[in-house]
Amino acid sequence: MTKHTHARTLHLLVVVLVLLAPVFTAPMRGSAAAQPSGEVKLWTEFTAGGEKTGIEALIAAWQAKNNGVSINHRPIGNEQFFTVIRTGIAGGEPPDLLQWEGYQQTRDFAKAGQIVDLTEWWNTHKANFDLQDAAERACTFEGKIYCVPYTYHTGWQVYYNPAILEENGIQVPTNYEEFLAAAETLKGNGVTPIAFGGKDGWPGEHWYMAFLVQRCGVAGVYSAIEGTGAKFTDPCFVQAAADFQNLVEKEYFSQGAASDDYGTAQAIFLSGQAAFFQTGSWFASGWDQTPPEIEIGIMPFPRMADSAFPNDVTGAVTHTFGIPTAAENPEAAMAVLDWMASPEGAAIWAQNGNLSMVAGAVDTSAPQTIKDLWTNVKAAQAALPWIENELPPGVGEDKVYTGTVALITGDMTPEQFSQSIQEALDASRT
Amino acid sequence: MEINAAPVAEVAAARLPRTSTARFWHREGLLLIPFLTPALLFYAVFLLLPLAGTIALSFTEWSGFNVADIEWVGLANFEELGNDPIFWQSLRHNLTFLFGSVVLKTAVALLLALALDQNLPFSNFFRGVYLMPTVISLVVVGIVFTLVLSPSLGLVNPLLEAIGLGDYTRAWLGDPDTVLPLIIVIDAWHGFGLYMFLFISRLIAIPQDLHDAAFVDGASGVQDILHITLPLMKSMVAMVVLLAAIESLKMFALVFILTRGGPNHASEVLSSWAYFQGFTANKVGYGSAILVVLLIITFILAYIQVTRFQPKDEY
Repeated sequence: MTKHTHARTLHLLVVVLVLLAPVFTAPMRGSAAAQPSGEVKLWTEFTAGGEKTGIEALIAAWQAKNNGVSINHRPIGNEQFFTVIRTGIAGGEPPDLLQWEGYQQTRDFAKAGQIVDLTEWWNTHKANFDLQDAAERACTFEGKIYCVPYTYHTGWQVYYNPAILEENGIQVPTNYEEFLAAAETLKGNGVTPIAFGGKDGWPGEHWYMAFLVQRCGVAGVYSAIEGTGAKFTDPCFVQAAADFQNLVEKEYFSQGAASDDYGTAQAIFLSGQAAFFQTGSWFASGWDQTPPEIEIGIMPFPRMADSAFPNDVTGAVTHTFGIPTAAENPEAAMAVLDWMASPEGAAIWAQNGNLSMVAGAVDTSAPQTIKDLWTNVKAAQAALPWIENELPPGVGEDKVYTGTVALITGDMTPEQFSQSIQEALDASRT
Repeated sequence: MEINAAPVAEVAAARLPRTSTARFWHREGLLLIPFLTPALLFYAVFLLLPLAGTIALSFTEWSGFNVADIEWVGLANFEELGNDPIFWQSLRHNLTFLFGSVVLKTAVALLLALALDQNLPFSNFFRGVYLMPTVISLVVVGIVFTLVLSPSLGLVNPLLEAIGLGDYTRAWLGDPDTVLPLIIVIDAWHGFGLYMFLFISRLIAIPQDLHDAAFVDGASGVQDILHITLPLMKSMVAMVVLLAAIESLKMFALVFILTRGGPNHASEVLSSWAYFQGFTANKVGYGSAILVVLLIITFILAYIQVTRFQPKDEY
């Protein structure tokens, strides 16, 4: 081969390499472009307890990665949360990553075309989650999945003050009959049996639900909600309302039952002025970071001896995450969400006292109290989510919420309460 | 000596444009524009536009999630109002509130203004004290009274028990019979200070000569108040009544914080019911229709006040 030929070959090689350069570099440039970057605006209702510390820990861990995506978190108080996120979404100014409470909110946002379809992501990651059926129920609209389930909250427990029970010679009740007997003893001794603040409606609804699942069962309640057979006027529903009103009539609730709010009821219990306090698992979520000043015990909600549905409980997927369709930085939001739902992110969430729905996170990382609650959740056969999230808003947050307060003030009988729910539900379907 | 001003006026008129409007713009218009524009912009953007939007939405059905889903329904929302018992209950509460709060605020403010105008010891101190509630946010007032009136953690029931009135203890805000009167009293407590100051400012403006003349004619202190002071306060009373009435009709924050309209709608007012419909029940159109009714009532009140209760002669 001549020197000249060598030179020509070399020239040809250079030309070929120049021509092929875009082919080789394209994937590299493409991957660089696909790499999400920038700021992710995140809105949550995590303002207190383990939720606050949990989201702060998650954000700190993410920011420490220095991967080009930063999180700008806006915590919004629970009372204003839904109004704020709806205004943001309707106004075309949503965050990139949004937390909401699943169920009806998912359906409302999805129906309006305001949140991204995450079905593909869910199908790929579904196996990583516990309670998959409950998760899908919270995030589904017309067969598609629109959110990632993140936290479960159980309502099936009663918190108690062991010191008060001991002072009054009362054993921790193991069923509802013992619970009523304990309440009667406490009342007779001048001690408020149950701290309760029903002003906002939902605390009363949670008591009503605890009776509903025992009287009608989860399937029965869903049958009434969906109008597939049962009605809220059926005897078991009326009986559940009567069970709730019975506690009022026997004067087991603290004095301001109709006018005090949840915070006041919590303060009554935490200041040692009442023996029992029924609320969700969120109450215990921050105890590791800020332990309560009194010793508190947790017992499963006392079950009635004649309960027709001995394995049904109350609880729901309460925190879900999704991406608004108008998000400015959806790729980065997806990267953050993907990491939050990873074992690493879920472990941080569980460490802070939250019932993470990512499989194994609670068992490996959560405080013992939270682990115990989770064990109870997984042992249940069926769980009834907060029914205001499954009913149309005008029914759940008016007829049920307001109705429970009317049961307390005596303005409604259990029959009238049940009738008003059914009428509103019928009207919403027409 | 007779002064003939005609030539001066004629010269001035000749220099000015002929019509009054043109004259106005020539003289002051250009100067007014920079002063008025910022306020007009704020007025248009933050009042007129939302007002027009609310009126327009009252003829629509909208869940509030996507602007593209707004659907024109004509008068359907207003027809629905007729069959909504909570709307009528709220309207009754608004009118009760209007009457009770206006009477209380006006009476207390006027009586205290008359008392403090007598130059009694510590008058200035009490003027400040009575004004203090007015400068506190209604949200803070609501939270404080929620705690004070709580049967479990509050102060009122223990106080009643301590002074031997234990039979009168109750769940103040949880009792449908007491909740509305209580909110009226709290609202009056919060609002009377400002009106008291308005009354005091009017009292100061009444010429002392008139009082002196009355006393020279043998009038007593009470007669002076009844026949000199009060007649001269009519325009201010009318203004205070109007302001208090409009403030009462707008009532939202106090009700929302204290009771959320409960128990069982016993303190529901139009604005809280509209808020519920718009932001909780996802019926933005219906909620807007409720607010339009509230707006109409407010306009009627303002019109009556402006046209009927304006005194003609007052110092």
